[in-house]
Amino acid sequence: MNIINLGLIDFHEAYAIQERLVAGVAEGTEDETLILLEHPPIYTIGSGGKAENILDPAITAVRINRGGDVTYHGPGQLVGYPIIDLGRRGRDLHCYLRFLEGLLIQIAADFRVEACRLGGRTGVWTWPPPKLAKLASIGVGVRRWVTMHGFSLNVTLDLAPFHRINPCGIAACPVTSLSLECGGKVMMEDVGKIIAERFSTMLEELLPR
Amino acid sequence: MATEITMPKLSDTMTEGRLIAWKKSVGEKVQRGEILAEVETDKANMELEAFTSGVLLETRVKAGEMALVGTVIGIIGNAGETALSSQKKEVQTLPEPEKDHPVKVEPLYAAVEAREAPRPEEGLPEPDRSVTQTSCTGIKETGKAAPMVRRLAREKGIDLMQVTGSGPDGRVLREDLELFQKVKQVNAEVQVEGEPQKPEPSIPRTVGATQALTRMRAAIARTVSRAWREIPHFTVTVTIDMGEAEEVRRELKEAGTPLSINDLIVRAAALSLQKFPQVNNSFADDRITVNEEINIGLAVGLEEGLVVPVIKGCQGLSLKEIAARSRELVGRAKEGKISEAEISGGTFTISNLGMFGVKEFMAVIQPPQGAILAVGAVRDEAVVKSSGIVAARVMCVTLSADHRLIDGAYAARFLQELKRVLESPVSMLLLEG
Repeated sequence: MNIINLGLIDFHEAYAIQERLVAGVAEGTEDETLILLEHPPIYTIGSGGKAENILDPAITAVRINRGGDVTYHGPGQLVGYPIIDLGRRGRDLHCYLRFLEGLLIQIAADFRVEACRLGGRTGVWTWPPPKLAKLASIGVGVRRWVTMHGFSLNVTLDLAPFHRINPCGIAACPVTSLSLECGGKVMMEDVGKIIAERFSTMLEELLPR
Repeated sequence: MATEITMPKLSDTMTEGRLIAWKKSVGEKVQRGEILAEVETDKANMELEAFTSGVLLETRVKAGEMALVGTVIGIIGNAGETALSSQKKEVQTLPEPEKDHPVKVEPLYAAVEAREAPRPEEGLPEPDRSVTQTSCTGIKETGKAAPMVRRLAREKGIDLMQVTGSGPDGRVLREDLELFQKVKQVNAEVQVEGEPQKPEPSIPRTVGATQALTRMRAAIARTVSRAWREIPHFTVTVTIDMGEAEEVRRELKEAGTPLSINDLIVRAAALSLQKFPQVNNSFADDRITVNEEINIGLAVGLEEGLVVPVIKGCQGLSLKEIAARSRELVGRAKEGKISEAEISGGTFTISNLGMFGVKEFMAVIQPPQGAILAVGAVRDEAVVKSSGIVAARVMCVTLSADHRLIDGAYAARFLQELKRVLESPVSMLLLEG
């Protein structure tokens, strides 16, 4: 398992890297890889997402081949693109989504933030109510059983741009970040490091080859 | 040499998927390995690859539509070959034409899974059986069917033995079920039109003669008369945008938790009753009873009358639990196997006539309860929003309230809360695991 941190990188540039790795993993010429990065401000929308969830007509969202609706990416949000061969790990998309949620709930717990799943609303939410807010979004694309896209965890992200959309297609969806929940600044490097440490162990545990 | 493309099973818990987009149009050439379509389950999209070259002859599921796992979503064949759509209509009643070639279009996994032993105990379709074994000897009435079809039949209350199977070895396919249901419906309509005087099945009728009430009819007559005589009813109606709720329902279903819109309404009502507890109160002997428990009754229409099984302790139940409890109780109510205890103790009632396309109606309160909610159909309506006129999925609900217990503004605020919960249904998922 490779883990690479690309730092702040343009969405399309990162997409090209993902595509190359997906093809490589499918052909068996590349190892499974977890790409960690940050994007400059951009809105993306899943192939099945609804345009009316973009509330500000001035916004252009890039339509991409992942599940889920519209979301926002920007500096201060840790984005993870795991390129994983599910063909050798049980071929179960729901299990994979649940694995990503579990990973992020664990990461939140590492920062003493209580988070949870909401059945039917894939993603990771802070807990308990009334604190309920979206901490991380998930949207996955799969080609020949190799995954692309993945998750975005709000760390120190400015949340204002979320107000111009219905995040994940949910009207007035409350959104939060790790820093907000911790009540202090969380370093992006620290979050990246912990994800890198936990990812392969949890993957092997939950979706063994 | 037409080959069927089916909705793939992308997870053990996937029962249906959404076709996001066709990447090829009808009539277009398809190369083996090319991406044909994109399908979505939960928040993951899968690119569906072609495993044979040919021409996309037909698409049976449109972009944005849901399809059960195993459903044929399209056909690939040779250029010049006619699409099967015209033949397909006959397939429902005639044996399928001989096709003894292997499946060539499928997602990568199916090739592997088809070789594995099927796991019918999971209630999921045996992978691609109906496609790979297409030689058909003739029509048989065997009641044989894939687990998914059996489940559908159960849900629709169809006896599989009555259905003519057009699949291999007389196996009943999903299409057969649909056809059977349509035929039944048409027959029923014809009967209604042709015999307007058709007697009620359970009550023998002689024109001009009087008739004793059945026990159930007598009980209903007693209750509603008392309610109408004693309870000063007033009604308040609100229109609710159900787009989000339908979405949540779809997503939960995709994630393996099937539930009905009514389950969402029960859960939303339970949450709203917690905030507006007066609506949950009862009135008897000039006294108000404050009910701690939220026990919601569901009006279930039967041929001979009506029964209202009660879901007890709704305040502590998750959506999933409400769905399971409701399915069980309604099922037994319809079979006439409900106990006295299960129909008593209600503190609030929901009556849903949405399935009959009713827009809105007023229901009569069941004494000593304080209110009843009458639920209409979820329907398409043009709605004016800041962005202009948009299509919305709306539903009207009418609360009948006992004015001795509840005042107009309080009833209105209760409905406002119910509307808020159903329009932002995330809050309903709080108790989910």
